[in-house]
Amino acid sequence: MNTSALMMMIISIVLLWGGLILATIHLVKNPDEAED
Amino acid sequence: MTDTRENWSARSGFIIAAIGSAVGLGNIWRFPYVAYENGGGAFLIPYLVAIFAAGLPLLFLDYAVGHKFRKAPPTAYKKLMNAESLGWWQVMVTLMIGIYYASVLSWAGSYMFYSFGQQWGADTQAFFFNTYLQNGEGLSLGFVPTLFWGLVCVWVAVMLILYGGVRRGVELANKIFMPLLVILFSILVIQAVRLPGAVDGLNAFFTPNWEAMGNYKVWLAAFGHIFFSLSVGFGIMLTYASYLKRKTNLTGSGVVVALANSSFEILAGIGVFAALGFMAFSSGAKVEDVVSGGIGLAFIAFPKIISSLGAGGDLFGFLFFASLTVAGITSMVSILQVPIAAFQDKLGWSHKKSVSIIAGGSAVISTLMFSTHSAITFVDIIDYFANNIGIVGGGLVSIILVSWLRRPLLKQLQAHINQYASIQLGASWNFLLTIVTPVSLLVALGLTINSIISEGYGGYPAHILWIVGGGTLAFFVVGAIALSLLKDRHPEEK
Repeated sequence: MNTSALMMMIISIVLLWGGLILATIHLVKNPDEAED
Repeated sequence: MTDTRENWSARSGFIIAAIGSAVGLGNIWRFPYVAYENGGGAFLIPYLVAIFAAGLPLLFLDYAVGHKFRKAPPTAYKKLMNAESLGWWQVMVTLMIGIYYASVLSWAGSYMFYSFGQQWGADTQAFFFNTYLQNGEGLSLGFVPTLFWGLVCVWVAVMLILYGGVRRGVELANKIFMPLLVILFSILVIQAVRLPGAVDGLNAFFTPNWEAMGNYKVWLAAFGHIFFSLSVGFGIMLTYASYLKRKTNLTGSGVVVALANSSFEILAGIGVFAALGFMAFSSGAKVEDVVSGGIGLAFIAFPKIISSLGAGGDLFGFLFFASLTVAGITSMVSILQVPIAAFQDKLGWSHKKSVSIIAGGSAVISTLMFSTHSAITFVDIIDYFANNIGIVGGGLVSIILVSWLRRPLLKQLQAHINQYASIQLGASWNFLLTIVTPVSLLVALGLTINSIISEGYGGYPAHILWIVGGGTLAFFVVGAIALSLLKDRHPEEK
């Protein structure tokens, strides 16, 4: 792959998949309160 | 009065179902093409901006309305601002989309089996239009048996899921189908990137065209795509949120749903363009000459790619069409859940009665309309009008009513979300919903209407557009008015 395409592929994957992993960790660390 | 509304077994059940709704056919056949046409790798910038500036704010609005009132769109909008007809407009749109979506889903399901032995032969275009669809001139309502049986299979599968209810039907189906989709599609992508020429396809997809960033149409394409891709603004997310327990973290869940949807889109872009790179390589053409999207990509280009792989193509084809089918089923279930819930809320029907009448009635209409020689004409025109006017118009009106005309409601909804949210909504949510989202939708709707008036659509004769497209819009308007005039009834005993 050419350099600019490779860079954009890596940035896209890191931002979106990395963002998904971070958002999931954030959600797990913030469980819903129990219903009364 | 005790609250007897069904609910998800847990927050994770809601999240996986919401991802299942958002990840549909469009993620596989629309996103790669839109991204390629609008700057390639550089499209990531407007795409991310659109997610955070328009997609998530609107997603949170849908969540807030559904979760606060625990009802489907008509009753929820009635309680929020006495705008029941807006809710019924959204219900009519989902009914119509469900009716034609079944057709496309049945094509994908049929092609899953045609992959074995690559039954489409050398001329994939002729096979699709002449042999499979038996496409006729103009509006031709003659019966096509192969399409009929495909539709029957789709509707039986979808109705069985819907009869199970929210927890044992929708949630369970998503818990099975979504991991299956990820497995099937991951195997497909791994196979695709190992093909000769795949690198050329990935270069075409990811090489950034920074000049495109100065073109407003690229930004509009990103906003338009995110709007459709996230299933926002037409009642699905609102209805799904109505089954959540009261103390739910809506914002944290929404960010996971949006990023999961986008993560799958990037995976689809890699898989589709690697395969297109191989197609260019094997036919001695350039990638830009073989790029396509939508129905043409799925049912004409992909069968060609599969045939180029020889006997090994059977498995590749099965994986591709099985992925389309699985992604489509979970989206279709979410689409039909909107009218089913709306009629339950309004007329007090039991769940099973609502499924039988609404999904059963849709199945009959869908099977009659789409097992004809005009199936693809109906799909193409109804899809265009339902998406670009039905969804965009309904979404736009809901935002304008809340953020422009009745602003105190926005504060109320913000307070409702923030009660249990891990990511608090502040002035930025307010600003984005007041300016960015409505303006982008208003421009998109204006461009669509202008385009239809000046150029028509798809090269169809005016009378066909009037009958099919105009009929679709008339269905939305008449349904929205008539159903909002019906008197509410008390729930029936189960």
